[in-house]
Amino acid sequence: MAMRPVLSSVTLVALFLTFLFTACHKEEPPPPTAEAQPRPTAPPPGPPPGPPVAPAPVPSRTFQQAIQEFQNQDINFDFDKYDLRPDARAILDRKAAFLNENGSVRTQIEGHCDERGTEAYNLALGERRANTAKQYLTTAGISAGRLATISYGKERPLDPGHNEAAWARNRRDHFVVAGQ
Amino acid sequence: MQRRLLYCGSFIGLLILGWYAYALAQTRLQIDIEKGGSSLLPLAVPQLLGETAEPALGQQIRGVLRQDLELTGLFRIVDQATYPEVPQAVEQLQYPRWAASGVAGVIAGSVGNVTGDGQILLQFALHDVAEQRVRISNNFAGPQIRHREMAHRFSDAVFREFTGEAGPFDTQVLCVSPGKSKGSKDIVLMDYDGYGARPLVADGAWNLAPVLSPNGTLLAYTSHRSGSPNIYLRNLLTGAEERLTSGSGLAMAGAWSPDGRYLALSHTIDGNSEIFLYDTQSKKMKRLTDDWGIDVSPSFAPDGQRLAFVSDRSGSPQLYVTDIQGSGPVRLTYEGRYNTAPAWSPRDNAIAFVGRAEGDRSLGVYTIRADGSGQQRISNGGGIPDGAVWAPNGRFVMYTSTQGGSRQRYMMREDGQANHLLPASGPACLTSQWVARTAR
Repeated sequence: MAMRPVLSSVTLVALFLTFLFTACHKEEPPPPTAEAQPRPTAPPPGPPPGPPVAPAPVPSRTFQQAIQEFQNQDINFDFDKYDLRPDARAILDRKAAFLNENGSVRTQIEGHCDERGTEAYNLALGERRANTAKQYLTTAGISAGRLATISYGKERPLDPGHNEAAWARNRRDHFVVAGQ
Repeated sequence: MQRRLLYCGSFIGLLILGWYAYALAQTRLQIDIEKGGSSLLPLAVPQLLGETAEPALGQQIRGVLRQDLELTGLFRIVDQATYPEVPQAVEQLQYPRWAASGVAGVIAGSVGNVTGDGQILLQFALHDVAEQRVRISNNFAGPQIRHREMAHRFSDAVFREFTGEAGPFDTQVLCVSPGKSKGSKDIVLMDYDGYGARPLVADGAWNLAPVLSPNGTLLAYTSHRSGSPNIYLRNLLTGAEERLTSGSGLAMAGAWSPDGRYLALSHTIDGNSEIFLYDTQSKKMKRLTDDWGIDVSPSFAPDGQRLAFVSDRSGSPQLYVTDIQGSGPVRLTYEGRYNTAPAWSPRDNAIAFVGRAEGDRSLGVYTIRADGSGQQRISNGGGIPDGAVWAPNGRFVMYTSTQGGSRQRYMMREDGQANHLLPASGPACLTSQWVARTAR
């Protein structure tokens, strides 16, 4: 009984992520045309993976916007953990697709922790978090040379709050495009 | 027979003499630091001779003495309004009047200008009111800018006189504080109370995890200046510097061996953080741990043979102890699922750490013995404590906590008694090491 809402929200999240993935997938122009001006988007190359998505108006996007999106989506971790949750894997799949399609993009993966811990251990934990994502992306075919890592430990919280919601947001890998 | 009586008699005589000496020692004003603090020893710090000519200086000097002694939780500086006299000589008091005021000891002093070029002469005497005599007296001469250091040294002398142990006041703290540019962190050395701060590394890079060698000359620290967090070794006398680690993995110095030969550190190679010993003589790294968990934060035992460190090999961060061969790390902590940042006491009786026991709502500073017994929480406040370090005498623990909203420094006795917020005189910082004052 109690499982049903959880399951359905997981499905919703999955659908949403799939939608985002597909949208992003469709809209990226090839890297040589990377300019900050709007361009008409190419039609989708084929049927997207996962369940079919209802047709939605596709906003015109640029490569820069795709990069923004790539940078804006963090993956999150459980307290004191560095293994990838299913939601993190889904996001990383999208990032892998983006990186595969844009072979000149290099990224720095920042590992972060929440404030509830000591400095040295948090730095090591953040490093593990960054490395876990790096490993996942290299397994997905991205060359390790394009993936730098850094751990900020608890130095740079995204959310300055001191509550569960803030801590959950702050336990993250953040992705920065380091060069194209 | 007679000879035997003689022996017996002298033996009894010796016993009586011994008992008398013991009784005399008992009446003498002493503080047992293990038990002290249930009642505070009342002391007076009256106006110094010559203070009227240098009122600001005199008040600062007495302020240092008051602050130092009260932070121990062993002494109480009695309100100046109740003092029966302003001493007319450093070594002369009207003892009966002081006795009537309920004061046990009086620190009398004088401040004078020696040469007129910024040099001062300070004289202090600690009077025992009951015994009606001077118990200790010291003179200090030096540049006026070092008046706090001179006062700290007399506080140490008073502490030693009453407890029999070295004082914690003429000491310095190595810490990491936010630098001028965004994201940068400086390494700062300052007096234990935050005064006299001077940057050791302030290059605009993110620097962290500094530790000073026992003789105060070699600073090991991590810098991101090359783009990766590597350990550097800087000779503070010559300025010469070498990089100890390479690669992109996180490297952090943890502690020097007491003889200054080895630096214990952690270094991530191929994604796996392990504990290493760097030998400054052979310039070789020796790996001490070998497992796939996080291994960080090594801290040397005073015997130089054992190390405490943190590992999450069990699934949660816990303290372990190994020897300098790296043989069979033994797990030390079993309470709770978060125990980190060990600091081995210079007295070898405890390891301080930051942890959270089962059922604890917040992190706290704990101590545990090296055999895993006697674990106890010694900090009571909320917030997030970090950077627990021992005073060189092993009787006090300093740490930082966010309990007041921002990160501030606190100091308490080893059992958690006399927990005090330290003056906000120095830069906001994360404490890394508490050391004897290093030469300037």
